[in-house]
Amino acid sequence: MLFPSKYNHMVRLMTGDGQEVRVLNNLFLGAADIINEELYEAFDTAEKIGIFTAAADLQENVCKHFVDKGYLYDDPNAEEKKIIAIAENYRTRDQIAAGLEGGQYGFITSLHCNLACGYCFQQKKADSTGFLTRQQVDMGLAAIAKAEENVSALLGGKKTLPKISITGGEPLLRNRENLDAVNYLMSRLEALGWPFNITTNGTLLKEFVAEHAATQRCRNVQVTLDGPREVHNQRRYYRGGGASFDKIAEGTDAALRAGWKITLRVCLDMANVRRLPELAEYIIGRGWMEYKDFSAYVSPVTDHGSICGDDTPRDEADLLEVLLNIIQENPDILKVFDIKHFRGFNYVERILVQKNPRFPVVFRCEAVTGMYIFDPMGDIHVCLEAVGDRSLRIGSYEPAWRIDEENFTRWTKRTAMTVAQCRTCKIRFICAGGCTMESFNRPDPEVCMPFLREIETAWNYFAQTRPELFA
Amino acid sequence: MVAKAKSRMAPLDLDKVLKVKILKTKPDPMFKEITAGLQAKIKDLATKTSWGSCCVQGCCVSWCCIQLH
Repeated sequence: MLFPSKYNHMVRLMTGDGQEVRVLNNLFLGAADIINEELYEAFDTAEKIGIFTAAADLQENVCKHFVDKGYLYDDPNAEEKKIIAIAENYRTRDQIAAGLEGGQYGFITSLHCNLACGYCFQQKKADSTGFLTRQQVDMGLAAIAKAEENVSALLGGKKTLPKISITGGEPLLRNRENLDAVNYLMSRLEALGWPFNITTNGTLLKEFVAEHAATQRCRNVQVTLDGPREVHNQRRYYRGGGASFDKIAEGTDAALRAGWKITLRVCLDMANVRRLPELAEYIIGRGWMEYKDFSAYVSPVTDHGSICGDDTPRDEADLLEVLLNIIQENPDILKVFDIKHFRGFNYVERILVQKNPRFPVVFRCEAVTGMYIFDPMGDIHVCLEAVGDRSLRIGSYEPAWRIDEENFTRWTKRTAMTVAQCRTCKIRFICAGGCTMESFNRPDPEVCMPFLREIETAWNYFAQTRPELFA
Repeated sequence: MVAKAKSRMAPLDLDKVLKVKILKTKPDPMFKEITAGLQAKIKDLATKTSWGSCCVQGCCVSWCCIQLH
């Protein structure tokens, strides 16, 4: 007797050249097959009754294919045993860091910012932390070195490479305290040989690159433009008013000319998605695409802290649908922007186009995997959105290293394996338990995301626009 | 025996089973693989070494965004 996987997902599609196609996809292991109508119905029935009754009517090699790919099991508990075996391998922060050959860490230079974007998750905490000091930089780096010793031990002594993010607030502010902290941190990282990235709003990038030579140690500087000039300036304006677009564009020009690697982010929501073609045109016209060190991506704006009211769309699937319609009319958008931050879309793209299915995701994000973030108050956080809220810190590194296990566990326990509702959810290993920060801000701790709808939208998009992939 | 089988299976399900029998004689391919999936890779990793996930979540400081690995 054969039992269907709990993660089988079937979609009926009409391709752009008029073919009816049925896809069977396993949302745990990532296998995908085009199946005929009879098999579709057989798997559909199996899902309803919990047993695959068509096995006796199938040729042996056909049945074997579906067992081998994880669509069917001969033991009703075999799939869950496999899941547990995988999850057992990375239960702790250090085990996860070992899997990545080094942990992830962050330094917050301050929560001060020269912009006052309406959707910023830090807006209520701006200016609340002071500035990072040299002593804090030293203590944070010493803590990283210590943490990496544990990670290295799990790898049999193999040297690891911690990955450092520098951000704020705005990390490139020009006041003396901030400049001192950033310059000192960068010089220490250079000496240690640890890679870092900088996440900045870009308004002071021109000044920064005039004073710093590009370094291979810095893998990426991220700036944000939210649309063409008019749209961006309505969303990302200076404190006290004033347009920021041209300053960011000039900074990006200067950084690219100086050899810095730039990633441009677009925070996307319903208010700016329709203007994306104009921004793509601007980027091409400005010549940024000609730099090998330039890339751009769009990311849906989310509101995990419940700070933006009802204006921020919670439903990424709606946003993806609008975006894909726009892309169909303006396919050049994809030459400029990566849209992999739509998780459901990325899932299908990796199967269908890249032929490289995603590994099942047990942990939602760095917060759950224990990314240590050091802030100017001497606190350690694991979530960027939580920085500045001391009730959400997981410990402190100044004056001494201290992890509050109870607080730490509040973050790290929330995985695809532990959230009860996930156990019966098809997108368990794509959503991975939802956002922990959001779960703290809602009376209902279940934070379900519309990724199944995103996945179906993505299958339909590819069927319409790339029928050759289904031939 | 027949009566017992009927009682186990709703009429709708029986219909499906009968319909599926067509498969053995159908000349059309029953399936075409798009992607093999991760079965073999996961089996290997789950027994030999640990591995971490690299998320895609839109976090502006996430290292996975810049494809370090």
